[in-house]
Amino acid sequence: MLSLTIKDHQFEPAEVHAPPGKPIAFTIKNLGTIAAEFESSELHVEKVIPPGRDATVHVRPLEPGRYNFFDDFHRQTQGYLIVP
Amino acid sequence: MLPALLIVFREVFEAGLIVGIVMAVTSGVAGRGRWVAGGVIAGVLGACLVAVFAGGLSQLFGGNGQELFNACILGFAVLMLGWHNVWMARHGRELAAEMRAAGEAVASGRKSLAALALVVTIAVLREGSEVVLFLYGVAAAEGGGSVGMVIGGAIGLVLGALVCLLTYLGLITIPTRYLFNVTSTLIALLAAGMAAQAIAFLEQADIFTAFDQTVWDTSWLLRDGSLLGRALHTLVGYVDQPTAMQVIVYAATLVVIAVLMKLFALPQQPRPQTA
Repeated sequence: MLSLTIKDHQFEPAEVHAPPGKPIAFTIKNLGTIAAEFESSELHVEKVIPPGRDATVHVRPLEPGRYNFFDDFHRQTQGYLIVP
Repeated sequence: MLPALLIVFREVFEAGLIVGIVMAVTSGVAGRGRWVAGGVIAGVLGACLVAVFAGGLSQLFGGNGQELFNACILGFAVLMLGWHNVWMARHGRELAAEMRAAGEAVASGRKSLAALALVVTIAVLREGSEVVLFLYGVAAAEGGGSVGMVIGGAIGLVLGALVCLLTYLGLITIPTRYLFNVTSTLIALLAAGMAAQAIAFLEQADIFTAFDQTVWDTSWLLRDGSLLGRALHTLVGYVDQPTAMQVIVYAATLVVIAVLMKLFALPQQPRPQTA
């Protein structure tokens, strides 16, 4: 389980790591005051997270690589998942 | 201004493609303007409701409320689209041949119109709720919304509506005798794409994990996040890295609709007057 927070339009941490070939779950807590949409076209997820809430998204097992995710409502909020 | 323009355009564009197709499919049916407009208005109201209750919705079903809600309304849209095609397979020919005057045909045509109006509602609701959440967020952050946001949103809306209009105008240039086959195919692909999208939500919620391996990767050719990718995603369900389950459900939806259309189609009855 990878835990992230969104605050001041930043992911914390902005880079997370997970092993290859295993299902991955992200938990994202939105500490900001406005809604965020956790999204990644590479990870095939999109989920609205209202302010003050957290959300869990599940990602299928991945090949090694560097995967970008972002807040679709505020594109400057960017993060990466590294699969070694 | 630019973020508002982009987000509003993207969502209106996606809903607009579907509205444009529905307008073309129903061209010639009396009262369709009211039905489609009703569908859009209901969708906008629904989008506001979904946005207001987004917090509560996301906490339902162990945090999977959003995914289940999306999967359910998409599933419902698939049923409506499939039903419309089956209905058209049965009545389309008589509708095209003798309809405009025949009150009965128009009255029963309304049922199919209602189904498509619901599809419009669902499309607008899904895309619209994101717009509402985003704009609300911007407005809240900037203390009441800025002029830039309003202008950006308005331009996005107009550009998106233009896509809807172009889709419609493009489709109605197709000669009437082909139009039925073209729109039936479009509707079936739309339904299959929505069914595959519903699966993606269930996979994200970890409800479906069977056959979740990626079947192919065409992201080097066309990313499904790009504008063309999004258009094709909405129209035919294009996904650059689909899971096996998505492909299976996509194909199954097409097959089921095709089989039902065949089963329920009126036999090509010999008509004395055509002899």
